[in-house]
Amino acid sequence: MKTEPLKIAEHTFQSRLFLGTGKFGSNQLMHDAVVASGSELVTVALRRVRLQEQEDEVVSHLQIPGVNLLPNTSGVRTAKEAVLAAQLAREALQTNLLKLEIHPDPRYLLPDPIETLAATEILAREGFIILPYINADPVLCKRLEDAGAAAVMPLGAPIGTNQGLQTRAMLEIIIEQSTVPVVVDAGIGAPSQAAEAMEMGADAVLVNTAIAVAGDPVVMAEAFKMATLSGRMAYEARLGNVSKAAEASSPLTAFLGQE
Amino acid sequence: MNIFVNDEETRIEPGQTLASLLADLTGGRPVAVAVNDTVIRQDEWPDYRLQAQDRVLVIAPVQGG
Repeated sequence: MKTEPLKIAEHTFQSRLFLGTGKFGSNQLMHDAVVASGSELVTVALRRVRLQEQEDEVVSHLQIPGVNLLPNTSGVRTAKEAVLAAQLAREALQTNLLKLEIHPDPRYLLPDPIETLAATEILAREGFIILPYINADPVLCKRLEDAGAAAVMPLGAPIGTNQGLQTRAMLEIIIEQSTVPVVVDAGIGAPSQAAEAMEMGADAVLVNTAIAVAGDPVVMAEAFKMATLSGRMAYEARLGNVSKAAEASSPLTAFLGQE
Repeated sequence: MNIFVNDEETRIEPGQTLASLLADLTGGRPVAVAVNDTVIRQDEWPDYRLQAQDRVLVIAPVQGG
């Protein structure tokens, strides 16, 4: 069963599950989880090279047919740092796709809305396809859209917490108002929560920790794949209305001869 | 002369190019480079001559969400 493809700028994705590559026990496990997930867009981070150490190279493990890389700017604290990180990411990976994340607070890793908006304005002018990771703030999402964001990535809960859609009410407003794709990022801890986001009308979800730290990350990746597809199918099939009073699904008259 | 590579003071030969520095330091890993906060494209590395006290930032992709 196929659902409508997702378009972000000039990119088209059949899978609406985006995958983060952090926290996997090995690059091979990461590779196998990406394959099992069916994801066509996976994130990578950028770090200073440790000059005296031999580090395992990650990109070769992600050269999987149909998989695009989405570099992030994790670790930057200001718009200025984000712009340099973005330019380096483009040079390193030869892509204009960018997950913009600016979170100066190390405890909750909450994104800085002011710096994120400022960086979006600059990077959009430089031709980046920007997917900003942000708070679930409907006003901010519209401002980012106006500034040139190709999609918005509001959080469900703080990064890596597996708390699910704590921001559900705000996500519903964002989805209702947005004219660019909405990718629910961060906090999704179980396949059912991915399905919930998709049923709400989110265009995609980005999942990392819930898969990477699972007892079997490869099986969990497949579970998320099915849940994301299931949620999208339900959205496209249109869910029934929610009502307060009961509505019978069996006839209530003419039972045992009664009229 | 001395430069700084990822904040580590490093001694190089006068006139050394960015390409030769990176060949020594990165072992061919895919990297991106900024010198004094300006990104230097890979096709510029062979002709880019480093100056004393240059601050070279070398980054590489790693696992991350």
